[in-house]
Amino acid sequence: MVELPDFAPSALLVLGIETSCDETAAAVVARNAEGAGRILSNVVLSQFDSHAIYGGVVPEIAARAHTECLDLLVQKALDEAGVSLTDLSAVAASAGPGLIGGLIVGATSGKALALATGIPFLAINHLEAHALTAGLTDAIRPPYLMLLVSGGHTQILWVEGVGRYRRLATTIDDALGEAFDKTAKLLGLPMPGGPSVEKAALNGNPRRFNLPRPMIGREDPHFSFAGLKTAVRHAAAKISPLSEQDIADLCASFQAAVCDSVADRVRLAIRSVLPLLPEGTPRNFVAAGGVAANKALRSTLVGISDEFGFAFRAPPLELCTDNGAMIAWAGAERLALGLVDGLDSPVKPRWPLDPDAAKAAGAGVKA
Amino acid sequence: MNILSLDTCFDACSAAAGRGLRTLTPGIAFAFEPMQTGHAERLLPMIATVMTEAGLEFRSLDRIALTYGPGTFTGTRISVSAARALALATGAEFVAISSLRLMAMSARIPAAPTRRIAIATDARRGEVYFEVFDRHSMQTVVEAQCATISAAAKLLGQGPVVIAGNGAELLATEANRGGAEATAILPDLLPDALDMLFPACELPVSRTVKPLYLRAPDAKPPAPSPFIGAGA
Repeated sequence: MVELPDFAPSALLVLGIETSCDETAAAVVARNAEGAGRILSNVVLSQFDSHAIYGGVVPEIAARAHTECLDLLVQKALDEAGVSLTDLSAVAASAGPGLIGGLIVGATSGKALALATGIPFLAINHLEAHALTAGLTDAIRPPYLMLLVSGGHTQILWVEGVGRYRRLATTIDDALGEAFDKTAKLLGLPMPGGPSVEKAALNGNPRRFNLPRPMIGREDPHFSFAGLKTAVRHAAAKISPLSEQDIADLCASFQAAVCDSVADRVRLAIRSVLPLLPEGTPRNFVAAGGVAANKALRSTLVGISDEFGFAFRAPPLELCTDNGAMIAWAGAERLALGLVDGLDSPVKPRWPLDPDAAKAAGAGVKA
Repeated sequence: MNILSLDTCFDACSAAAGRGLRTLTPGIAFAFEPMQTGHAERLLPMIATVMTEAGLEFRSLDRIALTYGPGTFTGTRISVSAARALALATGAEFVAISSLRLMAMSARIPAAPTRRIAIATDARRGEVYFEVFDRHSMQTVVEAQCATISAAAKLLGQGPVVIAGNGAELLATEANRGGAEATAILPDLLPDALDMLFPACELPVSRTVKPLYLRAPDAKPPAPSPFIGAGA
């Protein structure tokens, strides 16, 4: 039994495993009886270099890499936390949504660790883990509004409680991170595209190219970025070959269009949840996902939050992007409610947080 | 010696457990289920069952025997991931056997008296996972590889050979067209974890195991941006 005397004598200790995309991650998190969380270890191994030459994540390469390093990362997470498997209360693994090859590696490993240690297994929805992270980092309790923007997901969620989410908006085509990546690729910038585009945009003129602001003013609450990406392509083709300044201006114009579009969608979402918040209830708006690190977008979101009297929170970057701590924390939250899973539980490459949400009009299979 | 064995490489999921000293009697339990998908859901419950039926505690495991490929990429990863995680929790050592060798071991008696035995299993795209063994010594005669039927037929060379596995019939036909004396047997042969239990007492152990894919991932670098000049 691990002693955390300054925390709580009977804390739940959960190992979290994350393998849904191109980060292999493991972490140990404690949750005390009051529902407060503490990260005891959080190790992430990015496979970035393995995928870089392909201009994007190759699922088979990702799955192979997870297989060869996950057990080493789990051991490292246990060592750094100063605990052994027998100290744990449960093992949690992300079981979807994501790339099936990696999910199977993580879930199979998690089940095997749980079985051999004689503790429960928890199959965690990766999106739920992102959504609940604010409880770990900022002790924010539901309800709150959540914007999740990553390479795989673009959603606005109303977090009502553990296991209870209303999806207010999703993308009908590309995820926002995907749009950044595709724009970067188009302009010959290195991966990952988000930071590359953001960096180039610093020296660019956001008004040089009049790019479309997708979905603005539409009552339909969703996102769309495919058209914007195509508009960047057309603008680039018109003035090709591109100078460094052209690229900077295209990046700045793209980012400005993204911010305007997201701002419009977030305002719509906030207006839709205001009636659900009785007078005096805390108004919290949480952003997560790798794209939430974009400074221009962040300042846009802070502005909107101020407009509506919401407190804006974004977990630190290492907890915004994929990590094991969020999986462990979601596992601890679910374990506290007795929501454990069987060793026969499947992985789900598609796993909407809000299964009742109506399909977004025009949405493809990824939405 | 307490041993758990498992396989998920092809169209079956199997696990077996046994305890004992030199031999594995009395407690042996095993399970084998044909399946094309769903190994990830079935394997761990199956392991739980055979361990309980064999009266074994995980912490008392000495060895984990597994097929580490070749097979479906996902299936190969399921057995390797499960084995590595179980080893992390128990401190057990690995006995890693290739799926082709395990099948060759099972086909030894049916293949008699021919000296050479080959395993050929469908690797899709007109290719087979393929390896040739000496039936007596079980030494590898032709290294494991992923090859087209015609390339595998050439590698078989001349002289009598028995081929087992679901690619055997195709390969034997092709080889015989080139003048070989190939006989196909056991078209439904699949690896079975039970067949690993006894050999695992005697085979060398390792501290880690990596998947054997025999085939590179499908991936090629994208074309460069058409909008950037040569100097950019």
